[in-house]
Amino acid sequence: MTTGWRALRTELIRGTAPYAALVFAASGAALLYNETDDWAGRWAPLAQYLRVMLIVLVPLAVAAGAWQAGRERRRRINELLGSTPRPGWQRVIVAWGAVTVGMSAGLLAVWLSGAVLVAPVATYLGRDWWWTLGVAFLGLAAGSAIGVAIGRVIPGRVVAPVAGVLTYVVLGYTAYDNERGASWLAPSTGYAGDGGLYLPLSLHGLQALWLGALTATVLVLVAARRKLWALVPAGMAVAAAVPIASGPGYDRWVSDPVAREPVCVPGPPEVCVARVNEFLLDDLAPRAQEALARWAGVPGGFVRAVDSSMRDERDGGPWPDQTIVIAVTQFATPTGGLSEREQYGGSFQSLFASAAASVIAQHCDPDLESVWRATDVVWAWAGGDSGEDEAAELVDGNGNPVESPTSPDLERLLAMPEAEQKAWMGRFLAASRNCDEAAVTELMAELG
Amino acid sequence: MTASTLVETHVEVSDLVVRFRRTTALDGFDLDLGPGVHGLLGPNGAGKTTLMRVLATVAKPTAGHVSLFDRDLTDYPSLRHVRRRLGYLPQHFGYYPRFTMREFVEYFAWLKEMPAASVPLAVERAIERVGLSDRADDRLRRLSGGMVRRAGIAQAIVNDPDLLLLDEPTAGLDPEQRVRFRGLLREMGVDACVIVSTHLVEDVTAACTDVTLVNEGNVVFRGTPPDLIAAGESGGGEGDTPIERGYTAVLRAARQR
Repeated sequence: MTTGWRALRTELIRGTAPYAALVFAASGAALLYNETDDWAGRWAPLAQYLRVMLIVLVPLAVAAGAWQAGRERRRRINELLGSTPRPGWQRVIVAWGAVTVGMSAGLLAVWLSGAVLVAPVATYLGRDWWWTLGVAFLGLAAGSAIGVAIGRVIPGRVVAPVAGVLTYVVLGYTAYDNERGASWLAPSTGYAGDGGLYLPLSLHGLQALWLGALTATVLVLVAARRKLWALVPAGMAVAAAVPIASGPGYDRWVSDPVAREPVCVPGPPEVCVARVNEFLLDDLAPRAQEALARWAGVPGGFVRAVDSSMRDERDGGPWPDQTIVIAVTQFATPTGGLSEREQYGGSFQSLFASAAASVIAQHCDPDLESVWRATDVVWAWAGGDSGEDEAAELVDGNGNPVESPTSPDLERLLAMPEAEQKAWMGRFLAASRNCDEAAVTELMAELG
Repeated sequence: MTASTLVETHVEVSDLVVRFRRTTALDGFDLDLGPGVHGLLGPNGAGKTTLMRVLATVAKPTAGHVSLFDRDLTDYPSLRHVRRRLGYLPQHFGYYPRFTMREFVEYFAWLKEMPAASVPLAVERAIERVGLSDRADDRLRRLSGGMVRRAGIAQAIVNDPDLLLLDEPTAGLDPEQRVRFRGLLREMGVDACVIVSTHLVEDVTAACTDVTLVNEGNVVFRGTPPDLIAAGESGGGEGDTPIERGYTAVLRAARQR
């Protein structure tokens, strides 16, 4: 091992690097496992969610870089270092390299923990997500380089945290304002795809060039004796930044037709998911079919449940009639199963009921009170509940839980014979599909 | 040690001026030094540390000429060449407390661009010479103040420097360590130019081949330790030891001029 590698090794085990690795592993894990439904069972969303996490992790990288660079000043060792012959840029590269390796190891550990959960259940490999992942590491490298530059130029212990907070503000804004092409100059994104989207290789290439050249520019500026050398990477950075910034914002995402291919359990009732979500189908099918059974015998009732990931939301247009559309991944567990409730407490049954009740909203923009009353009735009839949190709040004067009250409208509907209930529902669906608000008002009048 | 050491002048300073804003630290300073152990004495603020910093290439002269190993320090290649042959222990020695002693000395061997193959042995030797072999794998933060100072000496000597600059090297060392350290100085001074800036005049008597006394940025005495002692005997200086009396006598005479 050469002395250079030994110096790097020493920095890795004695410098900021081990702390950076721990902080990145801990904070990364906290972020990743806070929103498991965004990536569970799918490779591309796992990589894309790591890019969302960079909104927090890149500011940490900036702070870690600034802290590492400020070490020489804090330890009052500048004078001793200044008497040594080795060019300063080599010392800076070793220090920056060590902290970047530490952070990258932390992020890699987080990704691996997610990959261990995704690998056994994933039903679609996806495309180009490995570039999405690679650019995340380049983003960390650029962040720590900027931090090193700040730490070397500006003295003070508060520089590192302040630089981190300012970076967070900037990245938060770019994530929010993702309609602009310039938002892709940030290594973080504000959105993880639903599994049916990917970022094209051309964007990855431009981002890799931009972040790599930015890193090199910053390091040359702070460490090299001849600053003019920075013009070379700076020119490359500009060459990459211009097409990124002048290109589209959100529309950089490309739909992956293979990921969106339907995979179905034949019916009736039929249940379909996008290929990328096929790992959920075995658990989904019986529960969806049970929920759809409620609509059996309803004229024009729902005969099919499909996964919203089967279609790019930008394609627009109505789904076929008699189809319930559900975002099935919101019930995905980290291990690829289907949970009873999504993260806000809504039950699977409620999701179905909501999708059914919202049929009128898909066809027009109702603002009559009777329409909203009807929607509530349909939702409750189809099995909707108030969710765990709301139900837990229903207590009597002694603090004992009580049954959720049933609305008078629903009571009158349920008082009808089963066949009449279904006929009423059929008429409601027909009125909704025709956006016939008068007919809906008339239906509600039947319930008193 | 390079062969050229035998013929070249290690330190050549002429008419050196160093100013910091309105303060003049060195004012027309002249000095020529070759191999040997050279003591640098003087009161606080006399300019000793500034001289050491200039010789260590970390402070720039305002005016005058400084040459190390017959090279001017005006261009980067010369500066780099000179720095490879330097060892420096600053007055305020900064260090990385999480590094072990061995890692710290090894890190400085890398910074001094030593050939990779020679580093392990050189590191062992430097640590052994300061008497800390048994603590080589302890982190610096676990060492006492005196031990940390010796770690600083170890990094300074790891490259077997031709010019060794030690600013207050014995601060914090116990008497036994100081005795051992003087032996190291004498050993180093056989081939190298060792400059020791200190307030401890007995170190000068015991270890130095000659002594330079600095006051208000100027040289006020140059000679051997016996010369300085003699100046005290004839000049009526104060102090508990002969060399202290010489020191105070020379300073008093310089102030009266």
